Amino acid sequence: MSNPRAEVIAVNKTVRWLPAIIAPALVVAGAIAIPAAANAAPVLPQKTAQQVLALIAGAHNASYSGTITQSSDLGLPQLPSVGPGSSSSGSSTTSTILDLLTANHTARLYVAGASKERLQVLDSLAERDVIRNGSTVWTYDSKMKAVTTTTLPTHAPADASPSTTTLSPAQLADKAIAAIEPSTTVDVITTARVAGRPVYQLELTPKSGNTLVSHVTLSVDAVTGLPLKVVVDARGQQAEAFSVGFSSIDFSTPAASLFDFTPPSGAKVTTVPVPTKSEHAGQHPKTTGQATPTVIGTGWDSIVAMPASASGAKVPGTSSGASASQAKLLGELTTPVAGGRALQTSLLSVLLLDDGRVFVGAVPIASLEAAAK
Amino acid sequence: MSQAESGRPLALLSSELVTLFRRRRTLAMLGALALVPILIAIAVRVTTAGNSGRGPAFIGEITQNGLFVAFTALTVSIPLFLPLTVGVVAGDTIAGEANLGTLRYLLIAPAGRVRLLVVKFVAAGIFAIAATLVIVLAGVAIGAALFPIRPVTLLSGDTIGAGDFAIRSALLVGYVSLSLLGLTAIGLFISTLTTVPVGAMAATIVLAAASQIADALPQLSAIHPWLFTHNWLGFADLLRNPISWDNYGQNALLQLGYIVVFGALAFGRFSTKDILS
Repeated sequence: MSNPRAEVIAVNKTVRWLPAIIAPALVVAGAIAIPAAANAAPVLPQKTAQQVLALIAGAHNASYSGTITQSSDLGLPQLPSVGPGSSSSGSSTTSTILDLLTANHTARLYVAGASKERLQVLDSLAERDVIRNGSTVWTYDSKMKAVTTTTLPTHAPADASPSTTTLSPAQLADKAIAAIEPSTTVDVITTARVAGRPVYQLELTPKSGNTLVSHVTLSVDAVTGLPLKVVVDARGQQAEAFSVGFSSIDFSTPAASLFDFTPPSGAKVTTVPVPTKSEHAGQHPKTTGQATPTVIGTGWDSIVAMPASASGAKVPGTSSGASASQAKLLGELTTPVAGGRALQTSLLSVLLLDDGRVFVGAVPIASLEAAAK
Repeated sequence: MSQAESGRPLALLSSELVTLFRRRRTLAMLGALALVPILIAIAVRVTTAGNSGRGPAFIGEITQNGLFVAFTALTVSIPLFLPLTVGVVAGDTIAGEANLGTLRYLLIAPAGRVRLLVVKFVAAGIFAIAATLVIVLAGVAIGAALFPIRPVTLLSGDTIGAGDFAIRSALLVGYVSLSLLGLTAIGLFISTLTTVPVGAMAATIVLAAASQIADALPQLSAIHPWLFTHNWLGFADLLRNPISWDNYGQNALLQLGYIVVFGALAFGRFSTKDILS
């Protein structure tokens, strides 16, 4: 029974399924095509490495705001993210460091001239802020509801060193090249787009064959000279080992009210004394002991050696201070070596010796063991 | 004629909404959602234990500021209670009518299948807005009753006044309801596949859970931005200073993609289906 009407109905039915086939195809095509079009490499005038470095040196006192994303793939095991909305007590040093090493971060940066900055690290349902307004620095942690404040010495602002003002950008670039040339090859490899801006990509390749770093790529805004992205590649790893850069940037001056911080009611306010020359404003809690760490070697092969009393973390099993879970975590991450334990990532090696000494460097563990002897 | 044509979808929608919100089940679900902030507020009020830094986000702030009850309740409800209720409503849309034997009569009226699908989707979307609104309003009310009300401290550490709080709360309700539209579209599609409403509801809710589990596994990070649950907790971006709109836009695009894809699938299925009941 070749019923023409049945055929029409059958064709009609096929037509009605068409949107269901076309819609996903359109959505996927749009999701792929739109970012691809935005990332086409721009055509820029040729520049030497010196000229690009001069461009960077010329970029101070800029005002801008933007979103920064940081990601790392250090070959460490990834841990499932903690359940949604739960505030884990991530205050211990080990878990903070582990979080920095393995997790990805998004932050917003607001800069108005040389003296006003605000960095917001956007965590899930939480935020950590660092606000600098002139000589006053505030930090705020929304999870802990903790505020710290520091007054910087007025004669030494953090980023405008005296040499910056007396040397021209070109002279600074020459100095920088002279300083890094012995250990590193510097090349302008290509142009690209970062955060929608045309950039020059400067590639730094270590001359030493012993380091774990394969090369460092610096993306420099072609117009303003602001470094927009840094990527570190590790030897023998396809994926980027470490990457931090702007995902969006806006060169208008941020609202002044962003830099006026008043501690919220109910927050714990701690006044931190002015940092001494050796340490920076509460950023790295690594160097808090009295014994100072020493640097062995030069350039990319340098190894930082921390004497027993300087290292906060002790070898698991022997220390009574570290909690059981921390010790277990360390035990899982590290491998036993002669006289201690070692942590090997694709970019960094750490050697924890039983006598309390710690060696860190962007070199294989064998080099650390040699340095420890 | 033309006036009747343009007037009919609204008439259909309003009758659909009346049916939906008169249902005892719908009211019970909204009541249960209102209980979430009330239980949280009472629990915090009767326990005198200080802020231990544990539990859902914002819970430590409640004793300082009652308005945070709403945020805590939202954080708690988004992973489970909201998708549960939206899944029930969305899964019931077509399958429920088919099960009751009323689908035939709806289609005999010259409403058309497409129009019926759109009306069903819009009604389920309005339920999602109502559900979120109930949590926020109940949270603010019980918070104001049991705790002091102060200017709200944002995640960035800045403090905002009452007007700003109202605007941000409205945006928040918008964000959370928007987040649920993708799930609503999925539920609508599943509902066209079956005449057993419970099956469609369960499948929708299971998908929401499965998507959230996949979102928590770092090994699947490549597909994370494509999961409809990925931005669900991004509402926190509205509590930053200044508001971060990245997530809002991204989430809107993502949900739109799900609405287009599953809307088209639902259209394909529903317009070619033999309606037997």
